[in-house]
Amino acid sequence: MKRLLYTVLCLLSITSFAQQKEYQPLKAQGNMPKDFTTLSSEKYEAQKKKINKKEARFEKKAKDDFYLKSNYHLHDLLYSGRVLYNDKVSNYVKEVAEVVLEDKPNLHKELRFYTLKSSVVNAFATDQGMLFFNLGLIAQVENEAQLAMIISHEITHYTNKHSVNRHIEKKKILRGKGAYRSISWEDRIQSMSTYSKENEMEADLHGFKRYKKTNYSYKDAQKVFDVLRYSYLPFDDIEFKKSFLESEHLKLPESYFLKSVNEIGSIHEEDNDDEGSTHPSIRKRVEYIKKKTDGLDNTGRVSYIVGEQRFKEIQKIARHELCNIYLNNLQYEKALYNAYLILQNEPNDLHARKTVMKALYGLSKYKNAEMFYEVHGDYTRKEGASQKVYFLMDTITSKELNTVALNYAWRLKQENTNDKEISLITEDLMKDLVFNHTQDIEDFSTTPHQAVSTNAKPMQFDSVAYNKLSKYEKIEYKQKFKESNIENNPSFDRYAFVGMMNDEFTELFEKFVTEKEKKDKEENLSAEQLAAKRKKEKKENKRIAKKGRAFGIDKIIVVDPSYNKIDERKGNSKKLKSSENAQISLQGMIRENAQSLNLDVEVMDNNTFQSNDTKKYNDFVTLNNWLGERAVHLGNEIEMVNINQNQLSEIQDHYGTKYVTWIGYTGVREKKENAIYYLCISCVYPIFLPVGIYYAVNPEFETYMYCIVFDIEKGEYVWIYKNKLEDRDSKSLVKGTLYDLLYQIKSKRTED
Amino acid sequence: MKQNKLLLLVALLLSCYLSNAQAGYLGRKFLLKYNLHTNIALNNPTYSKLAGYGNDGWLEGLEYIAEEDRFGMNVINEIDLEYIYSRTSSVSGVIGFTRTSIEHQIADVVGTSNESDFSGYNSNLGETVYYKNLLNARDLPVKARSFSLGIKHTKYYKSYSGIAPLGLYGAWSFHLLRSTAEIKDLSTKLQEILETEETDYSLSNTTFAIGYELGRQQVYYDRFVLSLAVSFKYIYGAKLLARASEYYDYGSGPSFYNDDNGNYNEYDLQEEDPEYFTQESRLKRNMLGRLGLQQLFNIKLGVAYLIK
Repeated sequence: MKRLLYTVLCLLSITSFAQQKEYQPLKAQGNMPKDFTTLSSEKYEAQKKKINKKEARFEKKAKDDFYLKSNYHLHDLLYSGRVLYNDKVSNYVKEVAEVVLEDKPNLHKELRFYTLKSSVVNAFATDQGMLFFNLGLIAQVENEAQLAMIISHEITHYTNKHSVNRHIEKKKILRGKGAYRSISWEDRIQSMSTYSKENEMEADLHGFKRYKKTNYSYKDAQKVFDVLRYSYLPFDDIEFKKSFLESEHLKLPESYFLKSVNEIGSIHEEDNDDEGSTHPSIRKRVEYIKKKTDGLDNTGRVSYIVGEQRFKEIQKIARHELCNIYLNNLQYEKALYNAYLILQNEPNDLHARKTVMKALYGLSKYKNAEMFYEVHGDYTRKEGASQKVYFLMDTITSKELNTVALNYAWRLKQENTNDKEISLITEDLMKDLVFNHTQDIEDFSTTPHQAVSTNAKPMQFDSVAYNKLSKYEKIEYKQKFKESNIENNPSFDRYAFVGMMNDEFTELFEKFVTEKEKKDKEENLSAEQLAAKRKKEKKENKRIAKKGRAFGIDKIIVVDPSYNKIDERKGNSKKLKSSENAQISLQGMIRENAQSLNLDVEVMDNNTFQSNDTKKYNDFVTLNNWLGERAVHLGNEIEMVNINQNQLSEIQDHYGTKYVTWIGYTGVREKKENAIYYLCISCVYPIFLPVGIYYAVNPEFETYMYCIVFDIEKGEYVWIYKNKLEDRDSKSLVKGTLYDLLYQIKSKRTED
Repeated sequence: MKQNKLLLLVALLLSCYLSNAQAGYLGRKFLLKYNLHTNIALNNPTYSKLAGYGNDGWLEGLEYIAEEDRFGMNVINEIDLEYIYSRTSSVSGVIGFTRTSIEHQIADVVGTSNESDFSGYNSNLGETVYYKNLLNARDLPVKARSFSLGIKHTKYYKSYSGIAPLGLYGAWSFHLLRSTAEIKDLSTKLQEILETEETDYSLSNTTFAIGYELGRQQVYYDRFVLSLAVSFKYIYGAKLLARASEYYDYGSGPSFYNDDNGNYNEYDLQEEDPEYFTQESRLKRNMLGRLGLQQLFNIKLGVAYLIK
């Protein structure tokens, strides 16, 4: 019996090892905080009431302006799809903050800690008591104590009301109030920078005082500035090995890898001169803290209080999240190197391997579309080991990159046969290879490459030497390098799929060859066929104009319906309160119209989330992030498989629909530029006076509307609609046009 | 036959209703509308006055001023049932009705003038040409009404609201108009003048009109529609502007004239035809002119109700 139990346990452990759980993206947890569920207008009114009536009129007005703008802008940030609450990282930061504020538990209760999905190494505090910590920062800080120092710094910004004071001071400076009355414009700009730096120094000083009360190490308080100094670099600096992207038969040329890389600090000069900057230079800050720590006894002080294990776990999460952030931002090279660093410690980490695949996929897509400059970083400006990645991507041809990406994806697919994301990306890479590079499978060898001995060694690219060359010497050098590369590495991609070209591979290849042939035929129509096609299109357009589109969708998710009211007369400023009201009204109209059309809708509106809507909020975040990335691809006219397809599949299953829409309205009150002209004409010809007065007085409006419908299963857009109406965005206009949009989504075609 | 037509109409409306054409404001397809057309007629044949020579209403001669400028407010009532058949288009059936009155003057021959040459008539045709009757101008109150049936096609401008019946629109229409002028309680003297034994006299005329209107509509509470438009209508046969603003020769024939067959085509009459100058012809033209101008240019205010 014991033996049986032992065997079962062994089997279970083996199974769990084999099915290593993929890293799951960080998500918000628990109930939604009040910061999310309270309307901006309510938050603004609450803060407005706190303004001391005895204060000077100018300050009261400036504060009112600050509370109004900051609350609405914060709302936009909270629902940008980048903020997480009650997640593992936020909770951890909160715990560290508890240590920092051990003597001030009430202050700790007052503060709210949020994680911001941003790769930038930064944190910030708001006047409302919200503290945001970027994942880029968490990924880079070395220990808990360093994080505690940053928390202390940010708490000071809150307690000393730096945000609101900075706003008031800025207004004073710009309007030349008080001491700024008699100073020049240049000096005023300088004063703004000085004031901001003073705030930062104050936050460092007071933050350190608070930090001192804890048992964290003084050394870490100093070292945290190193984190900031090198924040432009990846979280580690490990040589990028050639073998990383190679397989048994796919061998990349030596010449595609830099022999030496730029030294850290050689390109990115430290900004010692902080004139005009909002922050003091790092050097000054280090010196400042150093002075404060000199002579202090560090004995018994530690780097971890909450716990090292916990910190490592959180840091790991942040580093994994960086992969997703980079992919979403189309920073594929950064994502690739970030995943490479993770894989150094966890070589089988599926999330990191998939990040590599997705990064290669993105790079290949953009290179094939000749839009590589949109996603590629200049390798000559990079420092450290990651420079090799940028150089490789710069040097490799589109066909080679497509082949390398497909090779990597195919290998991953063989190991993860049930992963939808991997399958879709692999297929798309295969399709790209066929459509853009070759329709002959014999271009790829089935037998290994026979090494040819050659005396000529491939030329190595020396970036250090290259940077010292003149413009013409650089051109010459590159040409030589290219020739050497061709001579020494004939078609390495020919052997990329040796041993991989099984039936599945060849069938997929042939499938796309057939598709390509079909597409070519469609593109080369005879004059008669072309005329018939145009006739059909014309008929279809006529039908659409009359009856609208008919997508026959029964259920749809409406994400983040937006409504902006803009006043051109006030410098295109957004009317914050009326925009909020209009947006609330819009989501109501969506529900109402959908109901009358018998269209099942799930509205994810950022003004109507309730405290128990966390699941919905996470889906909202996923969809909005996806759209953000998608919008850039669309702008670049690139069709790509979703980077986070698996998450989208979950959403699809949960809501029972694969259709998602983004709907938005913008009402613009236009600036009346010809009013005087109309009045002048009327004065010359009094008969036109009534008309002249009408045109001079009558306000002019424009309404912009859009509706984007996506099929998240295929990652394709179903409908992109935008329209400009020469009319006021009255309730009836919005309701009528909205009904029309939803009607087109719902209705089915009755005839062909 | 009438029943069949009614059935056909019901079937048509039903098929429209049952069809899936839910395009239109909130899917509502019918718009029942009441329109009030109005124009301020500053120059308007409300009163057709004979003018000539002589005193105290006793006229001598053939030249008359056709009309006198009079201020008047014209009103046309119209009921319109609009069917929205696509996102930006609709067809309507229109019924219009208007009433007006005309102060029409007729000429009563009371004697023959011995005068043979009037000052201002420096004619080479000789004196004999210009002997004329002595005329008495009498006011004849005429009530006129017009009933119209029309169809209208409306196109809502896509760049304004993009959805019917909201926003700016333009509409072409075709109307059949039946106009009737009535003279009631004719006195014996008038009966004598008009050579009729009837105490009431009525005269009808049927013609057609083509119209265009440009307007804007706004929906309130999802059901109620307010509209403001300008409409233009051309009525065949109504010499509108000429009647409204210029001197015009009116006939001075002693009676309402009918030809031998009892009918004639008003529009074919030329000035050289004797019928042209009959008082009946004059009245008819006056009436058409009056109604025609009333239709020519209007400001149109409408209230409507959207029906599912």
